[in-house]
Amino acid sequence: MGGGGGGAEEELTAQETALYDRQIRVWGVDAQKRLSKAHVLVCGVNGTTTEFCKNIVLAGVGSLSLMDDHLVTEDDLEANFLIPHDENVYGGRSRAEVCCESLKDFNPMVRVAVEKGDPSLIDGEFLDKFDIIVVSCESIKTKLLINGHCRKRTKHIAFYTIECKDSCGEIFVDLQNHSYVQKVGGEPKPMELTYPSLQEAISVPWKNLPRKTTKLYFAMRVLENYELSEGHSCCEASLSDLPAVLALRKDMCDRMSLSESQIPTALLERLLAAGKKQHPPVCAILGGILGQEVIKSISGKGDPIKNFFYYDAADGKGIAEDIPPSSSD
Amino acid sequence: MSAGIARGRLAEERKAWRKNHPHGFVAKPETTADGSANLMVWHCAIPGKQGTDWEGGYYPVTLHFSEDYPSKPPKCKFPQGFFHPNVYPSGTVCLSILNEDNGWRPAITVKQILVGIQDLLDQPNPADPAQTDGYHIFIQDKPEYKRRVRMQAKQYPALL
Amino acid sequence: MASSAAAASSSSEEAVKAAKVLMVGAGGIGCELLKTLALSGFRDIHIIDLDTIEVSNLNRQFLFRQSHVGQSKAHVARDAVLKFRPNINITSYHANVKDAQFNVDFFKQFNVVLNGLDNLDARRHVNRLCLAAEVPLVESGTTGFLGQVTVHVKGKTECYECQPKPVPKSYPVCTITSTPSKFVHCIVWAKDLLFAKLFGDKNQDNDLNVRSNESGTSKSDVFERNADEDLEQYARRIYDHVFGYNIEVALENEETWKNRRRPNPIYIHGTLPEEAIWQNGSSRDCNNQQQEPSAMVSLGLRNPQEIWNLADNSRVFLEALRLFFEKREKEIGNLIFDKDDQLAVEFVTAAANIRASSFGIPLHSLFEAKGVAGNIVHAVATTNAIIAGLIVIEAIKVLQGDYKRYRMTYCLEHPSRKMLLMPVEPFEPNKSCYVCSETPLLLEVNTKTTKLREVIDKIIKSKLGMNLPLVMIGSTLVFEDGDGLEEDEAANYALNLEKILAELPAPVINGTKITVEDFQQEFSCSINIKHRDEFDAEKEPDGMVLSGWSAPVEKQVTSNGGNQSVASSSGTDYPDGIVEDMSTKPGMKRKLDEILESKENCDASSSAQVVEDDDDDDIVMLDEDPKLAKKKRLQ
Repeated sequence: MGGGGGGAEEELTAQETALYDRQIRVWGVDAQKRLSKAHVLVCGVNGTTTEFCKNIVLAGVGSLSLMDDHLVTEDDLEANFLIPHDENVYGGRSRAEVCCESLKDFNPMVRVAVEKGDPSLIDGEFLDKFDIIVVSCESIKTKLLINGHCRKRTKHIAFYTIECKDSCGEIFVDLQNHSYVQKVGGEPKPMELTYPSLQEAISVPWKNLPRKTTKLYFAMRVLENYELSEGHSCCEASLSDLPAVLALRKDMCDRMSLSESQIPTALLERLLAAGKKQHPPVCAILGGILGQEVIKSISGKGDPIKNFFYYDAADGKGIAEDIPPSSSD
Repeated sequence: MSAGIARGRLAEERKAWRKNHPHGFVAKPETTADGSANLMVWHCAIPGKQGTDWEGGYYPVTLHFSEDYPSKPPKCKFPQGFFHPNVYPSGTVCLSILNEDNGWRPAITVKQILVGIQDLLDQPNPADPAQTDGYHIFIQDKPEYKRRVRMQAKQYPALL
Repeated sequence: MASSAAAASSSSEEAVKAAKVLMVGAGGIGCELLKTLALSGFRDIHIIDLDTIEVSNLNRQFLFRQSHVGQSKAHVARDAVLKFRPNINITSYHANVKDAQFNVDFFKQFNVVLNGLDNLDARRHVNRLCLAAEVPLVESGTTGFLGQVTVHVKGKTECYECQPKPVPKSYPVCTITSTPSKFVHCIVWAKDLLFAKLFGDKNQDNDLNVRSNESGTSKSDVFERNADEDLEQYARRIYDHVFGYNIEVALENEETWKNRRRPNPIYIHGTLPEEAIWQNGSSRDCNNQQQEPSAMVSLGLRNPQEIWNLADNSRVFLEALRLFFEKREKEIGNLIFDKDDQLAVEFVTAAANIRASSFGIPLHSLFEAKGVAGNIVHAVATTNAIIAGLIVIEAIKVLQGDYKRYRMTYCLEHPSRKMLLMPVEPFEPNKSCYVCSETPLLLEVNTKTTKLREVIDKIIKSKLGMNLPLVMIGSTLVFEDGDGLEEDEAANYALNLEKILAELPAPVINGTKITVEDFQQEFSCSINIKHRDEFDAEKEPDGMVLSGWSAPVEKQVTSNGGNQSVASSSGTDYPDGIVEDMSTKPGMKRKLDEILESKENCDASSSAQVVEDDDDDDIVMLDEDPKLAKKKRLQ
């Protein structure tokens, strides 16, 4: 009774059923089986992505790989609960290594591993090992490169970016062509979504966007462009860059016929003042939303976000934006 | 409406007392023969302080609350003829905190009233005499006063 | 300008550093919340939780490991968080928040109370203490992908109980014992009657007897195992009695079945051939399992998701019954159904399914049956993490006294007006709230036949959520409960409990106003009594009706109306809390529906959207419902 080989197609083990009981009641056994076969890569380990990692390790994905060679510094402790407060433990070790160790404890049924390397040098073939790629705290150049690779592979690879700047956050989703099932009036209904690439999503002429588009979308593009033009890495700009950033805002707004008031100075100021600082409750919220999105995409159940999500603790709204807007005809 | 205020406050006092009260003190709403308890009348017992002539006695006091409580203080009564300079012959206690025009404040609790009366027992206030007997003896004949107090203490042994 | 942003953030940091916060609950939301509080700079956190860690917690309560199973949630959570924040103070209490030590004075020491609770009872208790202590409360709940966070500040916003809350549904005894029409009725029967009868306290009232009135034998004899009876015979006899004989007896009452489908009696010889039982019996010798006994394991049934047929259910029934008597005999007589007791779940699933077969009700898998029997609510880590983040954001606003920016936030599964996280301005206190205002309730009851005890159990405890009530008529106390009572007082009150309302020392008759208070909760309310002679046994199973307290929506929670004490002790379990079902907010539901509609409208004609006001700083305004004119928003 206890014997027998456990093939991948088999039912969940008694151990899995007991551990995952409560969530199986949410998404069903099939989704749980799919989760256990999914492989996730996270590039950039910080407060927000550790929240995400915790969530999907608990949910029971097949494997999670962490890529971040930066050595742990005291700053990293701020929003990160995976690093023990002991320099003897983290000293001289990379963020990926230290966090990997803590994450392994969370769920013995999930393989957690470190991928050494520089995300900006990732090649396409490497990505075939994964079903889900999450990139955080990388330059827009690197994000575009990885997103481009994902879209060229024959294997379907879902791509996400996630950034938290103090009390604001942005998630980008590219599921390429995504088929899923949505319950409509209690009946499962097959659905289909086509996503734009990251390049398409960030280079839409602003005048084509609805006026209600969240201000954070524009502000993030201004900062992204500023960092690109200055050769900065992600989150390196600070409050002293404000005058230059305001000049860039004017330039971009003029070029794309958007009123500058759509990108309030106060908002840019907040984002610049944040620097690398991440507000822990916002990390929890963003990491939770991203976790949920990744589970939806793996299980093929439920409406995924298409294709941006924004949160700002100042107004408390968590908004999904579709950019460029799908033509509704 | 005011009845509601008195009742609400007395229910609070009752709960507070049940949760915590000074050792040796008793305070409970009057129980009637039919099995209910009347919150407007409380039967209490105050222990005489240790090391005083009052020690050993548990002095019964009845608190009569009015509908105007806690705007007005309760009337506090020892048994008729209770021996103490500040107790009227009817048993009513004369104490500044129990005087509506003087020291009474609505925030004063049942516990504070009873502790205040306990303090008064061995610290009578000669400026406010309420009975001739107790007052005169207290002023004129301390040994006799002590004897009377000790005798009275034996009259009110602990209730088991 | 820059300096004002910096000043705002430094003032919030100061407020956080200086704050003393109380967390109630160290479960799904609690683990996330404790972590996020610690990361956010909170330095003095007190946490209360009664529970110990179970395996089914580990999928989301990430501070706990397999090796912690059985230990105190509060203590383990504290130790886990101190590993990454060693220099803060966390005080943990492995205790019930309803304990006397957590009184108003205890609550007063905190700047804010944060709830991560899993049951209505405790939530109401904390709400009342927060009101009494005048400490702000941030309340939360999740189910699956849904969740919400609300802020309750006395005098400024509505309290937790200003809106009716769902309460466990109870079923009329006759539906359970005679005329089940849903699977849940069969579960309640199997759990609260049959299981309790066979394995529970024999002195407990049990309505299972109702149908077993064989002449000559005393009622309870049927369920006693005869001295010379082997277990096979006994199990068979019980099976035939409850699924066969009792149904036959019920069928004799033609009146019952006039407008109902007639059930089929089921006997063991019809379900399982003679040899099969014997074979099943012989498998007992393979004594290779050192784990807890399981009928599924011994019968080789492996998939809890599978729906067993009648024969399999019958095998599980017999096998589970036998395993109880063989392996767990010592526990018989004081077992209470527990959703984490595998053998108990197997027995209840099988019994419920056999009964369901009899009544033509669709059968269910063990997994589903366990969910119904244990009142298990869905729970995932992600929603808890999001909700915990939102709690901390509100808590920081509360500490800064920034009440104009307080929000209730709903976490949705599908975007509404583009929003997945939807902030809404809090409501003003409900002037007719029976908890934070003084409007009396109305109780219709037959004052000439109803005992005080019934009013206390069915209304004051189970509907108003009091634990240790004081009952007053004017200034006359007729009942008190809890510590600090003298013997004579307690004896008087015990006598009063059994008195008819109209015969109490202060008679309770038509027009009487009674006042009830709780000894611990610092909560009081008035009830006007209206005498009524008759009640509809089906629709008004309590035999009394409370109004003015808007009737809560009944959730899918089972409890046996006839067997309150057993039902409530086996308990409702919401792992991470009840989501305040939006349909329970009368105003809310309509508004959300409108929003959803308007969203669809917008999708259809996106040009209409452009015309709308585009101020991003607005928040969702749920327009006033004329019916809820009293319910005004802040500001």
